Amino acid sequence: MLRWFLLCAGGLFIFPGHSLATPAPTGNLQSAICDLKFHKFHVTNSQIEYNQTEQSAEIIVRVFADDFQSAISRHSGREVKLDRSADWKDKAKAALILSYLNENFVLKNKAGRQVKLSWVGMEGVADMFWIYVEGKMTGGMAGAQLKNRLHCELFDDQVNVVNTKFEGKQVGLMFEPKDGFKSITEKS
Amino acid sequence: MRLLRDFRTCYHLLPPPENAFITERFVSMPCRKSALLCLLFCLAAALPALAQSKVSPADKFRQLEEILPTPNDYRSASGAPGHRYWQQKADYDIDVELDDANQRIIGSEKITYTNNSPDTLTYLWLQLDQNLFRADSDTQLTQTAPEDMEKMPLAMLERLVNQSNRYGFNITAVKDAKGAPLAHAIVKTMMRVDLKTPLATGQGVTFSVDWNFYIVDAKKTPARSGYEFFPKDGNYIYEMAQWFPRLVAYNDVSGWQHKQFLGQGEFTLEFGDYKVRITAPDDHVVGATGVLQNPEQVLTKAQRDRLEQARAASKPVLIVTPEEARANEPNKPKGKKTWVYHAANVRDFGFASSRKFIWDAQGHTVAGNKVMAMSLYPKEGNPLWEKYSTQAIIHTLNVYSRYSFDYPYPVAYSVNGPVGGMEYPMICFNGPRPEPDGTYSAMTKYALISVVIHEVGHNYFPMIVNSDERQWTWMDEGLNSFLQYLSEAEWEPNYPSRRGEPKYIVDYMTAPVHDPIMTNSESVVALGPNAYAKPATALNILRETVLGRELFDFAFKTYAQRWKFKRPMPADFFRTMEDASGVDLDWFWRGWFYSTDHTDIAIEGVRLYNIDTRNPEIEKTVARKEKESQPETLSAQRNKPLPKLTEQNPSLNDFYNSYDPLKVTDSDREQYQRFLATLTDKEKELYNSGLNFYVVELKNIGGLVMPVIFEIEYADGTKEELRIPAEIWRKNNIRLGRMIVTPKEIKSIALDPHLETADTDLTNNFWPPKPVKSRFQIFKDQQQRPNPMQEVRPHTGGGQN
Repeated sequence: MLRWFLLCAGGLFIFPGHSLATPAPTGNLQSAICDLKFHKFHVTNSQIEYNQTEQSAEIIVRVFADDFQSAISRHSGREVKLDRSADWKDKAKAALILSYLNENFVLKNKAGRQVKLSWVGMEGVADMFWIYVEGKMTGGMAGAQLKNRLHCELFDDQVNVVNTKFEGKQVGLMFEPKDGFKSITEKS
Repeated sequence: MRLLRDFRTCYHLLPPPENAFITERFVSMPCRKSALLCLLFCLAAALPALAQSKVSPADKFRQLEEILPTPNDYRSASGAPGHRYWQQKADYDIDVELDDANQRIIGSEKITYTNNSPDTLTYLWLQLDQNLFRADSDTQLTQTAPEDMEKMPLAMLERLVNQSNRYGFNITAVKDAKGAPLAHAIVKTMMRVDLKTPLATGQGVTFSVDWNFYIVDAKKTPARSGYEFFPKDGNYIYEMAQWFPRLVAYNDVSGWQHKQFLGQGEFTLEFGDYKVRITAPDDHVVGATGVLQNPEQVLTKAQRDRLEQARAASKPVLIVTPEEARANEPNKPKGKKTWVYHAANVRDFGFASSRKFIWDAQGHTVAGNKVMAMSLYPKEGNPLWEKYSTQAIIHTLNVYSRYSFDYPYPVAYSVNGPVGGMEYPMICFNGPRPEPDGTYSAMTKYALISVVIHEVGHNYFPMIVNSDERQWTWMDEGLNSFLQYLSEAEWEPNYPSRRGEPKYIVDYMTAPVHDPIMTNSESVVALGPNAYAKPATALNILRETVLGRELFDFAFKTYAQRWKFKRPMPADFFRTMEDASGVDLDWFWRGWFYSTDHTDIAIEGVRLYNIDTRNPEIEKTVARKEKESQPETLSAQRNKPLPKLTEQNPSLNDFYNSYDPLKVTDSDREQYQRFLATLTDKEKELYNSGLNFYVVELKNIGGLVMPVIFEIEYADGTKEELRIPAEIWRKNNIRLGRMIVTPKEIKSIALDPHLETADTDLTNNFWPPKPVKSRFQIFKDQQQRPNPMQEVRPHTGGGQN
């Protein structure tokens, strides 16, 4: 409680819990996007694919643009715009997004160490962002664990879906705000 | 059928007289066999499908009649409304005042309810949606604590701190037609009105309700309606919906649809006629469902003239200009004005009011029906809104009308305010705005156009084709998202649509938890993709790949026209689509709507067979070639130079040492001639046709049976597309072999080359197998290339995008 209280007191932007209710200043992307009727749904879709040659996890995170902007803004303590193509090449913004991901999309290898994510890029299509990151993961996906809390600080009905592909297998996971780490594979 | 013979040798078996034989030339697929084969088959025999074992998979082609409700007089087997179809009617005569000083609504309505059902009703139910915002509402009571208390959203804190019982309907009177009080009971977001005399079939009853409530701040509280306060100029925009107690729907399938309104699932309503008198500050512009009846009283002469001009205009005409709106902002009203709106045959009524509104309008004719397309927006909406809103309305009316029915209403509004996207008959609220400096990103631009199309589109589904949003959200959201996608495709080339294309649904289809579309909306976990994207994509696939555009469009239009101004159920849709297209679609509904299977069809193997010509010159030559092309084993190589006994002592050789079984003998030739003599000319042709018989083995891994689309590339460079209906899976839902007969040699085969079936794994769609680059790899490769400007002028840095 104390932490965010200080943030509030500092007069910085904290975005409200529903992406439809936008902060007074600017509408633009914050106003519920696109083809939405009122009951906006809070879902992210991520895909992890293990690259055997590079020994790395290749991750694509697909998010609703307005929710993600809210999340990053909240994370940084100031309003962050991400809806222009120039934003997607902005190094500072990339660093911000990466730090948010490292905090909320935690992939651990079988030794229990967090896989450090590095930036590959991002793009926007319609009302979604596709964010590409990767992390070195020698030894494959065996024994890996994942905790996915993207946008859970914004919505208590957030659902995060993750699809993992490795060794010709596909494992699907679903995360709700109450979930912690989930195992991707059994230890081999 | 002749048994498969084990190969590695190139013998022919002595053929039984009548049958031709197909010799397998070679097998060319991964798995088990890699050697060249000679097989003998009966030409007429069926291909070796895997025999169905006792554990047979569920039949994907089973007829849906077992699950669908039994047709009756109200809903027929063809999917059309039955000959005794009924629905209720609710007419409203409302006086409402907008209290701008206190952000309050005071209203009084007279409702005339007509009971067309076969049942006698002793009470009526009304919805009191504003009660959602009461501190003691179920929504508030059942709210669970956030997982992360440390990071509580500010708005939630505000709500908790400022909780008051200020919000919610304050019902001050419920009276009968004579003015005497009527017994009623308020049950949270519902109210039951007890009728003095039971209402029999065909009878009507009139009663009145008086109420008031405080309007919520739609920026702070998630709401479908409310106000937005602009601190810079001290003004409000009001977007009003769910602002009057409204009749709950009563229908033949579920009786009263009076589930508590918890904010998620929506509502169903009855059609009726509205007469509404809205009293607002005299410097406000009020837009509403319906046609303004008293323009002389509420509009200036200039505004009336401009409206007249707009009726015949070919582009939007400003009724209230940006300069006038700006000048109006600091204004203090002198009094009030009452705007009278009438609307016929609508299921709801919304309105918007503000002194900040800029108002533009353009008349548009849809098949002889004159429609006024109008937009209301504050200066904060420009330059986006003046450019796109009204045009998007007109575009939607054009496209949707073509696919369903001509827009029957006289008016279509798009209003900018606090609500992101919400629709009411003839008026919708849309949120996207540019930056304060007037610039906007591509994403914002498309967000606006898309939301206007979507919300105006809702006039068709569910405002006119009145499906039950609470139970079957997909029937309006899915259908509307689908038509929205078609509209976007006609707005500009390569419009960035996210829903519609099968490839975008692939993620969701393989998600671990996803409910069938045919799940009651209240129970669905991730409602969005379930109700919007998956059905929209399914309809697109039905249109492009299963039925084709012409047949689909005809069937879809039939559905829309049958159920226009009526209340359809899912079965009515499924049945109508089949009824009108003449195609059995039960497998499609079963797969896409009733199951959570996904598409993943794989090419498991390809085998090639040739006809055994029986001509020893040809057959033995081929056999020799195959024998010679066999790799020489390591041992054979090493043994070659070793001295052999028979070389040293040739007397050990005999007939068999020089016998070449593949040498064509006279006896062979004679046998062939005798064989030929038994053939007719036609049969001879067959034998000498030189045709290749390929068998492509497919496996259905994902569960969904789908049409099979091959792109075949031949060795001569030509290409051919082969489209096979899904019925090919009807004998065996899991595995099949499809024969392709051709004189040419096939070089490669690709399955679903145009990504039509939402196939979730493209790596198994190719023969010979070829690596498919993942999206990640493609993106990464692109990132590392210099951008086009840099490529042209390598020494110039910092290109703009």
